[in-house]
Amino acid sequence: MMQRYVVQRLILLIPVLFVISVLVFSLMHLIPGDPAQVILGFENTDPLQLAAVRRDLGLDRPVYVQYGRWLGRVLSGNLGTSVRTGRPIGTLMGEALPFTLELAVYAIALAVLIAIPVGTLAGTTSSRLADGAMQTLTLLGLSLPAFWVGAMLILLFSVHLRWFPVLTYPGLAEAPLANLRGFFLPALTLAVPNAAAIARMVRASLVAVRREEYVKVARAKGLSEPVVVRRHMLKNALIPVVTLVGIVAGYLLGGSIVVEQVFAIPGVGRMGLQAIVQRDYPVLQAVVLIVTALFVLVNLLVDLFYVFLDPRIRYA
Amino acid sequence: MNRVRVLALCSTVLLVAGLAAVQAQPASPQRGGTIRVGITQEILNLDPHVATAFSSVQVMDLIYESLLRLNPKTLELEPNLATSWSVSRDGLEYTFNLRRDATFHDGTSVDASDVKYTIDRILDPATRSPQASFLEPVREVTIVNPFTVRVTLKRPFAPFLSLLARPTRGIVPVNFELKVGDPRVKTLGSGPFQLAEFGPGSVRFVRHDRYWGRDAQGNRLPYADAVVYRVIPDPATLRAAVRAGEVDMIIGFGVDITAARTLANVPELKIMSVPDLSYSLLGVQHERPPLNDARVKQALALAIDRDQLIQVVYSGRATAAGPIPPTLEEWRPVAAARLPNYRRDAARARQLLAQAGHPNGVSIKMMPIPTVPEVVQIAQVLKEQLAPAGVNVEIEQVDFATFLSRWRGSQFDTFVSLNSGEIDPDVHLYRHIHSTGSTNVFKFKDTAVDQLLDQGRSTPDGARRQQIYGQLQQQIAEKVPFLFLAYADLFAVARANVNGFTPGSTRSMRPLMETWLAR
Amino acid sequence: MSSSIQESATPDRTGVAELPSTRPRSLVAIARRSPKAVTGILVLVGIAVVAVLAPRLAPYPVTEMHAVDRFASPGAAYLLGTDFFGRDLFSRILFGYRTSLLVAALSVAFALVIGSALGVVAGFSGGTVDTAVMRTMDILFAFPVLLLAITIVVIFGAGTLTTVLAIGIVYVPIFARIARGPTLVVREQAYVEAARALGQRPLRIIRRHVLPNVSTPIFVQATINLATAILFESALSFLGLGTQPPYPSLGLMVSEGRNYLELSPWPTVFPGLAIVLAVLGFNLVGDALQEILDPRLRPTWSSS
Repeated sequence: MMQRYVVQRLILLIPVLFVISVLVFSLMHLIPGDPAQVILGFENTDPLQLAAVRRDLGLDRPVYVQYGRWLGRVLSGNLGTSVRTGRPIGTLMGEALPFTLELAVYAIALAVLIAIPVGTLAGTTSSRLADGAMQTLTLLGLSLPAFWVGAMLILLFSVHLRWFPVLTYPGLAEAPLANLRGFFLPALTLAVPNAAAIARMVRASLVAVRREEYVKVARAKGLSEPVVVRRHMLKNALIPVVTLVGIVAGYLLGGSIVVEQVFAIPGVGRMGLQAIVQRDYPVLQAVVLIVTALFVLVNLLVDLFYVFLDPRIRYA
Repeated sequence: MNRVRVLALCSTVLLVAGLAAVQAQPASPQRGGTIRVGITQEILNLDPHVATAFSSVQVMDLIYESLLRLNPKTLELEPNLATSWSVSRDGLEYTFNLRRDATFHDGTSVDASDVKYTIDRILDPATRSPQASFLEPVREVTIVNPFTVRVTLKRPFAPFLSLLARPTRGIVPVNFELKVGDPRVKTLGSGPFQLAEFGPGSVRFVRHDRYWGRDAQGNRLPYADAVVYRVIPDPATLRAAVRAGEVDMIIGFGVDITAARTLANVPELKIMSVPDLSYSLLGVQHERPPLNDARVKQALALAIDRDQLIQVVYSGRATAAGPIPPTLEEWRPVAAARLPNYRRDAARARQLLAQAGHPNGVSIKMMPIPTVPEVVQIAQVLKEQLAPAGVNVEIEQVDFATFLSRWRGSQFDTFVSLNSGEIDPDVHLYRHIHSTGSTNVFKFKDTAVDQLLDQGRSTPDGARRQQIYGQLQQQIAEKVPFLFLAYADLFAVARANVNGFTPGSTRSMRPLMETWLAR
Repeated sequence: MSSSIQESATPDRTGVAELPSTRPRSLVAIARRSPKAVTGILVLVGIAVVAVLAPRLAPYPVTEMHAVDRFASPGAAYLLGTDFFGRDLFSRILFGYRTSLLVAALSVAFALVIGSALGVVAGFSGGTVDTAVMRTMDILFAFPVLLLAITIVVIFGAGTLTTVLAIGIVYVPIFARIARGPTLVVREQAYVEAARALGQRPLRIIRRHVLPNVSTPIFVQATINLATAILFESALSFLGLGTQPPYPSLGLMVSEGRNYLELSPWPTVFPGLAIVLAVLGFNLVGDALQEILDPRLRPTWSSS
């Protein structure tokens, strides 16, 4: 049953990716300027040369022919090469994706680490003051622009206090500690609004669960409050929280252009931005497809995770 | 031949040098170490003859060497791969003697066949080289003997030698592409460094151990084991990086007067500066109404206050631009203040607009190039200055490829950008303002200007040539092909232990081979 | 298969709960029950007033440069100091609120109208229409948000209207999903079936029965998206693809000032605080609305 569901979802991914690739292709051809012009730059203005470069790149063909060629190549497992730099897109992706993946995972971990205790406290406390303070704080967290936070964090922690390096991103395998230190500030920047959102979700779910029968029963049985919270409330409250974390993960895996830009992280987001600005069609295609596929897959994982959290849910 | 002198003021200026830094400077250079350089723009393409991005061109002379080079301090032409040269009396034949100790990174020596191959490669349309238009006067290249090569021109061309002093005309070995694979991502040159790693956001070059260059004491250059470029797109982050010691120096776009001012008080940093050969300009499309009327262009010129512009955008660290860079003393640059149409006169501008049939003023669009940070600031100041003169400006920001596309297609009223400067006035001006110029996207046509430009390039060097460019400066100021705005100061910020680096007006990074880190 | 998933206990993937058909209560009632809402509304009304009255309140013309007073500190001459060009920050923030509020309001209005219409039509029609519309929305939803917005901006050229369009399009699927949920629920209700049986026109049924039920969650979502739209606009402006200088938007001001933090923090700090205040205002109201309207307290959230 479960397998069939997973397979179905995966099959559904194919038309989604197909439509998106057509969409990206059409959008790219609506934009003024093309990679041939970018390659020739400001010095080589010879129209014959421009035509020749267009021919080299196959840009002189009708758009559907170009798309067909691209699709044929991708289906045979070859993402092609960057028009601008001539480097294989597989390699570029292999370089950029680890940065984005780690940043996303790190940011989610930080967000969850902050959000669960804060949200639990606010959702279970009987102090109106504590709850109010937490609500105000999280609303504030949701209201901060990321590039502003990033700039402030760099100024404070890297320049003045020197607690964290500005842009050292050694490999996780080679230097795990230095790596975690290097990624801390960008991950924190990404984590702040998400931590706020998740904390609010945790609180809201706990408040909702508090009135459920089984919680009352647990209390009546004389279980201590921490045990009630941990065993009975949190587990059930986690379902909507997991949804939210899934959505957050989906977005973060797409690479945060702003944070990657501010912290000089050569991740997928910056790769996509560069590809648009340079009209590097095949690179943009690859970025969008991979990001979309990740987004859909993460959401599938989230749906599957429910089964573990709540045995009442069955996918058929 | 070109005896170009740089003003005394232009040599490296240390705004602030920490006292400790000065004292700690050991007498002799130390070898080894990795110099980490922070830049804001991605290095995209390392094919010397094909690359166009500023960031790519900037690192090119670490890897590739041209026949001649420019002295970064004096901007004089100096021997490089060619040790000496002679020019035939008719100005058509240039014979170069090559040095015998230069080798490519693969160990083979640089000889005449490589020079011929290189020039042929640039001129071959299949290379798609933007450099081809510069070398257009070349008729053929002949190998005289393994270390002597002769270039024959189609016609006398006074600026020819200056053309050979650019890294983008760097010498590559015969069958370059076969040997190197894809030259956009792999390199094979004879320069002081070779490419080791082309990673995301960082490019690593290591020392070419058999490089011929030596310092005054006879020590082999370069001193450093390696140079790593880190791409940090955000200028504020870039400054934080050098401040925190994550990189040893920062240079290029985004390292400006703001960097100099904000980092001036940091004791462990030193700030270097040099006037740029490049200049900011306000490009004008001459065929588009209302700018097809000479009076409107003149009004535009009269509405601009360069001193205020420089005060606001560059905090005073720039020179008002005339057509010839003030650094090129030999060409007698006329100071902007003494050129016609260069002094602000808003009333006269309004009058001219009224005469041209626009008593209520005109409206134009202005497109700033997105890759040069200060350009959008220039556009904002110009908008404010032009308004009281009756010119209403709408700024339209576009992305890089759109800018390029519209620039190439002359689809603009006006644009603000940065033009790279050249040490020869012909190369500096001809392609932009001659009616047949390859980058005359302005659609500027003027027979008097054309004539002077044609004379300027065919007249052999000397007093007569100087005179021609004297006249040309006046003509340009009167006819306003576009508006020269300012030659800014370039800045570089380095950690105190970085020694021997000299920023150059051409933005060359070649001085990195003489740079060493004190430990 | 797909419908069985939707009917399961799984919350919708957007985190958007299907709300019970509560009707909005009167504002007075809301105010009495929620000081949060009152604070939020006061903040927003204050901001709206200064934005509307900006031309009267601003002490200086919004683009006027004072070359001698660059990076002036807050003081008597310039209430909040000046920026890189010596432009008065206070005046620019007042006008910046205009841009930010305008972009936020128009883009959310665009997404609300188009998105809700699509969602209601999809939910009400069911079958192929539903599948077609919602699959399209899924695709749009899965598309990397900022990349989509940037592409739109690059196609149409940067400017306030393009920003509105870009943010609007990105938000459409959110509203479509929110509108569809309650529509599905209402469609199955006996009174709607009765109305159908009586031969009432679909448009009439939608107006009388569906819209009242859909409007509440949409209203809540709109408040939240107004908050994120302001952040979205500032992100686009930060990348140079939003509001065109010299006209101010708060995001543009922060990104212009950010480069000069070490010289003067004010051009970054004040517009940044102004953004936070406006976003906070919308978030307060949105939050309060949710609490009041949805006893199960399932917040909706969306990212930019």
